[in-house]
Amino acid sequence: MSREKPLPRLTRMIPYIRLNRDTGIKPTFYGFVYLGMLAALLLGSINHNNNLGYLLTFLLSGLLLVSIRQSWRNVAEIKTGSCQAQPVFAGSEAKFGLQVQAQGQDRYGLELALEPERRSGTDLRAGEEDRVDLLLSAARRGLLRCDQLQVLSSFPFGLFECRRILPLECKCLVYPRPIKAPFMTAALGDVLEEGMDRRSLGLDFSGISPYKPGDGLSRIHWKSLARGQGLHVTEFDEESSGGALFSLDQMPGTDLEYKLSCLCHMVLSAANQGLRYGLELGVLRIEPNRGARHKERCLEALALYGTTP
Amino acid sequence: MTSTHSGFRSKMLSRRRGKDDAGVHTVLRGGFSGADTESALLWNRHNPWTKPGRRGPLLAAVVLACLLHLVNISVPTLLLCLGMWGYHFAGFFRPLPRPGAKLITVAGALLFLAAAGTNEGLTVEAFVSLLVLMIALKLFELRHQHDATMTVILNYFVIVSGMFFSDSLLVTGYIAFALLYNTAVLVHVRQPGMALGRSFRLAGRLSLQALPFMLIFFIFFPRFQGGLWGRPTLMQERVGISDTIRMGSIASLAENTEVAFRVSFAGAVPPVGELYWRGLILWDFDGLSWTRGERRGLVPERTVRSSAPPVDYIITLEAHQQRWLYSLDRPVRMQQMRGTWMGNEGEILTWRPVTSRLQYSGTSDPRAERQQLQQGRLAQMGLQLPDAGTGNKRARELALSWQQGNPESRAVVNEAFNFFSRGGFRYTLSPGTPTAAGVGAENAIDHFLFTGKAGFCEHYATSFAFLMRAAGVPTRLVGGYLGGSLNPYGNYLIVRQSDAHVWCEVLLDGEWQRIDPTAAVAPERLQTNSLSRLGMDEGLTLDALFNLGRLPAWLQPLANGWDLLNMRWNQWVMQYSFAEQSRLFSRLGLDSSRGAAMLSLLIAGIALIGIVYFFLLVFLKPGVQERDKVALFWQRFLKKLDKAQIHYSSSQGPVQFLQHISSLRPDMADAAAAVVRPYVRLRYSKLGEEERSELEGQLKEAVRRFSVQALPKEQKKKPA
Repeated sequence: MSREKPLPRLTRMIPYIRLNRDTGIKPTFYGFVYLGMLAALLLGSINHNNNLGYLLTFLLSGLLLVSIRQSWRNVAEIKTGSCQAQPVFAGSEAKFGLQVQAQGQDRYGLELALEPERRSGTDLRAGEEDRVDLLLSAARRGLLRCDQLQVLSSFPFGLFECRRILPLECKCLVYPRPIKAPFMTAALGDVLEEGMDRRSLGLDFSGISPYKPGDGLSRIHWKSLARGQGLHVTEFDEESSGGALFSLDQMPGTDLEYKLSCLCHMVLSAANQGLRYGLELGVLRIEPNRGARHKERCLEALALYGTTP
Repeated sequence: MTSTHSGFRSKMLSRRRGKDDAGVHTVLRGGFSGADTESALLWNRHNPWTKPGRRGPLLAAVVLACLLHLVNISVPTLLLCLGMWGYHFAGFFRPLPRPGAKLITVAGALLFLAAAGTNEGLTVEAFVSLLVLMIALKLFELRHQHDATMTVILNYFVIVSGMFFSDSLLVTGYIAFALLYNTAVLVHVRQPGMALGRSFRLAGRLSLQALPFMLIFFIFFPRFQGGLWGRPTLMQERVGISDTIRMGSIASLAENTEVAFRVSFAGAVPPVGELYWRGLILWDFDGLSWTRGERRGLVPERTVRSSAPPVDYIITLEAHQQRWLYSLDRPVRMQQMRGTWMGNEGEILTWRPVTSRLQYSGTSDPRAERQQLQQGRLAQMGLQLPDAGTGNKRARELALSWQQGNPESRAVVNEAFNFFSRGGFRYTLSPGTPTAAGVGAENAIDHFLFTGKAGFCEHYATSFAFLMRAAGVPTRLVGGYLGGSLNPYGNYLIVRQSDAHVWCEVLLDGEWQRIDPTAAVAPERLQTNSLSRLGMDEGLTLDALFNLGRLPAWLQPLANGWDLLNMRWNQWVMQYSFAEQSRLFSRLGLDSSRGAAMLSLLIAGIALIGIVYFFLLVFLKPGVQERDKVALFWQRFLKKLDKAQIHYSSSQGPVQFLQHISSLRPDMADAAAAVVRPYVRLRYSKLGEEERSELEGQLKEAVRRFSVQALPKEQKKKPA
């Protein structure tokens, strides 16, 4: 069923018939099947001159027409609230949490979407605030914006789909897609293979210190924990030496996006290994540090580098 | 499409996360990858579409849709269909293996062959059996919302195709009910979050809203005279007089109380003895059965009117799948219709079989003469008999003796009448067959005349015709109906299959005269209607209830009323045709001859309804019960509190507000808490449908009970 059949694809390509400024309507695949059936029944009724056939065919046509009004009412009077999303990496999907409220009546089979192919179905109670997760593909790094929400419904029969477009303001930060690359730091000016022994980097093991919230998992000194001495983390000498500085200028190649992607990967793996690292992007310089906040700051700088705010 | 398929997977994901499946589900692109690796059981606890709660209404809708057709399809297809339903039903109680895609394809092909093979060719029945079987098979494939939706839409088709088989009021009612149920199931299938009861109410409301559209379309949709192409034949409704009459063929109709046609007269109803409804003329006798023969129209004749006033009437003929119409003996003039003409012998013939109910008017003159114009092929046709050695030897001898004793044809007829009335003959509904008595069918007439002496009208008519021809008197057989029962409410005559009758026309003095040999044996046959002959006081049977023909006497008024309702339904709704539409349009001042005018009227009607509809949509607020009930109760609660000078400010939450109330009026704290508790739950937590309605009830009750009493005295004493 994952392969799309030609007829559904065709129905997807059919444009919405505009009913008013922001609302449009079109038959779904089932709508076409239903219309085909109605046509067959009408032909049969004409051929047999069968009034019962006419009567029933027209009853079913009437149902179709009436259902359009239901779909229309279903997409009307939807209020939207805040729309927030956690930052994501390019190439994945941003997940927006949208506050919605249905006014007037309960809604069934409501679909919300920021882009046509990623719909989220939900049922809403009248007057009740609800949170709906909406997906939006984040292809490129930067600030992902979406300014319209599609409210879709084929309630109650699934034969006609009504679409309403609501203005919406939502943003999501998209980090560059991390691409695995060799470590390259300005501080050492050397190319080092990832995963090399830290001591060969000149980062000498200097001892252990008690665990503080925020310390990386990879730095936990498991041996002391096993000895029953409580949580400790390993200390490296590089703390004092200032740590690594990842610089855009130092990266080989001409493709800016590729370079940013590599830097992104470096930042991530450095953060993962609990190293101290800094970032240099043109005029912007983030001094070496560690911790979750620092990582976010670096990633945000990478995401927004060169983009107009 | 993508969204509908993958809806299920996302629902499964959300279930794994422990969420309510009716709640928020996210739809991913890419659809279903692992769909076919699911467990191949009809009942699979991971797939919602295998649960009885989901399948049950669907299976019920399928059964309801097909039930009407079970009598129309052949026995093997019926058994196959019932078998498959049984399997589905059994699947509710225990896990049963589900056939794979290949097996379903093979089974589909086999079922196609079964449906085509067991029905005779390309009939409507074959088509319907195929549909019924395919739907039953489709239920095995039920895995996604898509399959369920397609099944329901197919169901619509099956239900409406019931129109080919009957359009009586009863069947129409059933079809309407089945459509309503199917619509509710469609809502249920498409909106899994909606409770079944609510789907039903919605379907009912929408159907009611669809009625005005139906009426407008029905009245204004242009009708055509005649069909578009040839109609597939129906096997089922071949009840009634056929073009082959043999001993026993009319007796088999004697207990069939189905309506053959209804007649309303312009003037008074003629006396019962004159109500001979002439259908077809049979010329050829091959020793066993009478047929119409190939040489019709070779004995020219004409009708000469008498001075008696003609009888005008309108006949509403039920579809009998034959190519003739009935008229009151003797027809003078019939309504001009395309493909219909009056044959040489006064038969009303049609080009196509009558496959749907037909209404026509006619004029008859019971005393008119049908005069023989020329001899023509009279000797071959009116005197044709099988060769002398083939059987019925005694009858031939008897006829020959009459011929020798009487030179006059009329005297021969009298001899035969005497033979029948004095020979100890009995008129009976259930005559024994000659084969049962050990006599060959070729000697059936001998057996009847000299041994059995018990028979129904066709026994008398065929033997009489045989005797006449053997005695050299030209005779032909006429098939039709005799009598009918009057419906006092509508003042029309109902002629049933049990009124079927066969008589003879004998050429006497150059004129074909009606001779009914049954009258010689059972004169009462001419004076009573078939219902009284069948005996009405035998109690209420199921068959009687459905046919409304053989009800006990005390229920007869009811039956008459029901028949009248059916008659009116036929007359006003089912008979609404090109002619009625033209009349209506001309009354509305429209030129009906122009199709464009009708079409524009149709479009205008639809547009008008559409405009009114969307006008209502925009300007009419939904009714109170559709508005937020919870808010309504809350407002009521606040209004009551206003009396106690306690006011709610929107900056407070309800819980804070409750503390505020309790601090001001500790005496009302409990009552207020009873209101606030359900309110908070209704507003701030996610609830199921049932829980919700229960809480709404609680809230309503608490608000109703809540009242602001005057301040207790001790509180009044310590004003702040």
